[in-house]
Amino acid sequence: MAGCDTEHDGAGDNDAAVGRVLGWVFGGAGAFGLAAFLEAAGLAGLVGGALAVAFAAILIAALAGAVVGFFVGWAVNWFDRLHVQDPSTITMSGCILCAGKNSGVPPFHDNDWTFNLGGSMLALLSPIIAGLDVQEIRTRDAPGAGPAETTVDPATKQPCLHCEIGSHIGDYAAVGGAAGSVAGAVAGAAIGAAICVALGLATFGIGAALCLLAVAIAILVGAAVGGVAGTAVGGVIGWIADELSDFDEQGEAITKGCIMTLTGRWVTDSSHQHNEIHDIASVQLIECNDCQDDKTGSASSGLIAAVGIGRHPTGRDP
Amino acid sequence: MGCCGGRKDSGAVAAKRRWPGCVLCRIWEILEREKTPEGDPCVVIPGHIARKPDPCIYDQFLLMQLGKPVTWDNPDVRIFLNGVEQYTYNLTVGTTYDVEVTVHNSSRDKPANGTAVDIRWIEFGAGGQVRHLIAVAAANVPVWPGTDVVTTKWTTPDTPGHYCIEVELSHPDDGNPSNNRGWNNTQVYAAQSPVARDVRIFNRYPGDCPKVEEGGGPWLRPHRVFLGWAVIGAVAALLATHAGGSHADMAQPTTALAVPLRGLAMMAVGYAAGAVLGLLVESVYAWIRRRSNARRARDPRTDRTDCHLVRIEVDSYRFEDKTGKDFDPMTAFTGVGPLWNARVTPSSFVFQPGEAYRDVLLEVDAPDDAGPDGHFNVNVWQGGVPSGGVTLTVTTGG
Repeated sequence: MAGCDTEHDGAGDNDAAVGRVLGWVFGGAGAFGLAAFLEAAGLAGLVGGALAVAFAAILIAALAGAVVGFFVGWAVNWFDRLHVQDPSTITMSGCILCAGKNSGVPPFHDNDWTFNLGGSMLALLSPIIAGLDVQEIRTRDAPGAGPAETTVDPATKQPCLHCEIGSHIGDYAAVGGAAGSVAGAVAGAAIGAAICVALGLATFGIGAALCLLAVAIAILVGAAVGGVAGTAVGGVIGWIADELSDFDEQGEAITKGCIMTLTGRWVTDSSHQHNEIHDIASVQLIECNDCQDDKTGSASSGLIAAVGIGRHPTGRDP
Repeated sequence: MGCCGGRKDSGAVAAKRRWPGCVLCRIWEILEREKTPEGDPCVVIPGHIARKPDPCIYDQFLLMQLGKPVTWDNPDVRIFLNGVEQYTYNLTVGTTYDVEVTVHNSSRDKPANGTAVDIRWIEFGAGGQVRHLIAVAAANVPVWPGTDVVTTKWTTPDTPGHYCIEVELSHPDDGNPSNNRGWNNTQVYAAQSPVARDVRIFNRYPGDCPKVEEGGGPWLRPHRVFLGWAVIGAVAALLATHAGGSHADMAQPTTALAVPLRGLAMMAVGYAAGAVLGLLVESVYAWIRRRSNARRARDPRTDRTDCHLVRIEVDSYRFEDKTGKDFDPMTAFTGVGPLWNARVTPSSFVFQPGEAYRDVLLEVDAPDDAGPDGHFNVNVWQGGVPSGGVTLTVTTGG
């Protein structure tokens, strides 16, 4: 299964998250490389082959730092990407131009339910505040965040508002990956030191350089394995949490072309530089009628209005 | 992934053909599979989100937001005196009436038990903001098409006048909070030709417009420093702990305990150094982003509607109340122009600072001959959003 993406129809970087995480990757690589360099600089007798080994150790350490930086940076940005607007809760109605679940292995997939709400009948239903209209919902930068640019649905090219139901999998996997990566790096450092002792490596020259290399490799392996394992464990826990949260309820199947009313938290997603509803707190399925082809939107908005006041013109009658 | 043969350009199938043995590439493709423009054929939304009660009422504000015509003679609000239905335009001062509110539930799955029904009266006019509580009642509304009728006593004020009834619903698990407010706001005039009456338009924003909290920042966030950079610094410090000299000491039993302690001490030092470095990095990053956002803020939207701008329209729409398949939205929400020549003067204006209300003049050229009544809805928007309205009936003695 695949989630729904959006495209900016003007300015805006849909992959802003990449740059935000890359900063942590390079930062981690720099920090670890610097620590290894300082350690190597303090070693005596680093000439010839020993110098080359020490250089390799610095590179491996930098790589280990990049891995730790990735998992830690991912988690930090994960919980820092959504910025809440004022008012925080809005209700929108419109046509589902795309519906998908971003299923897959975290961190590549957050397993959120994703929707592009749009169509000519896209409307803000509440709250009713002067100046607050659909365009404002799509473009206002949340306090402390921005920019927020308009988006279109890639398949239909119609203006849309992206909406998501958050899965626990993304949250738990991010935390698990960071914790696992850090714990793995610490464990790797201990294992590397134990290897040094076991092999009786000397405290200077090639022995010291090999010891540094062993520690760096162990940290790299520990960080990578710990990060992946932590992500996997977190993902499984998140999946269980998802199942438990909806244990005794029957879900609602929807497709592209369904008219819906969505209520949820209005945010700026700085990872994609657009505004969205995230998380959706409640949804109402009005009807599925290929509304994406409704050029005027009048028929669809009539259905939304009728259901809104409890008159239900479609579906099963009593 | 270069070994995947430019998957993004030529597609996964082509990549597979070029590198049939590239198992890692296939794994990578599965892991990194991108979102698609089409989404999924079918998505199942969790039931606790999709199946909620939705108490609702004929809500003019919802309908106006959807661009639909409305009547302020609310089909879900009725007023009785000794069992005889009355009209809000013709109430007697200091008299006790029965107010009856029909509460619907748009949900087919969950009953809206425990719905709070706030019933208030507002001074006649459009956009009135001073509300006087009549009663708070509770409704237990079964799933659609069930309804619940709430009744309460209301003693009209001792001062003569006309009053608007406002009903507002609330439910702790409401699936749609936008359909909870209905007005019943009517007035009747005997025909003269022309009928000319003042309609009071209240200012929803007598002070400044609602403040827009926008952009700015980003600001330094402690968790990025202390759970991010500082942690990386602590782990990086391990590299300076174990290499070069410490392992020789570890072989000595007397100093074996000192090594982990030294490691912890180095991690503490690394944590502090990482925090300092993180503070610097995050400060610079935030400063750069703030400058960028400040530049953007200097060029705000210019098409925002002034919150003091009022627009008024008149029509003769009437709501045919049906439900289920008998309710045809296309006909039920078809707008109807003024039955007779009717106009509001002015039809648009801007409230001055501090102005509480303004009276506008509704003029209807009613026919001199006896005939059916004419209904005129005066719908008001302020700041581009619905503000209220009133339905006036002009009787011609027919």
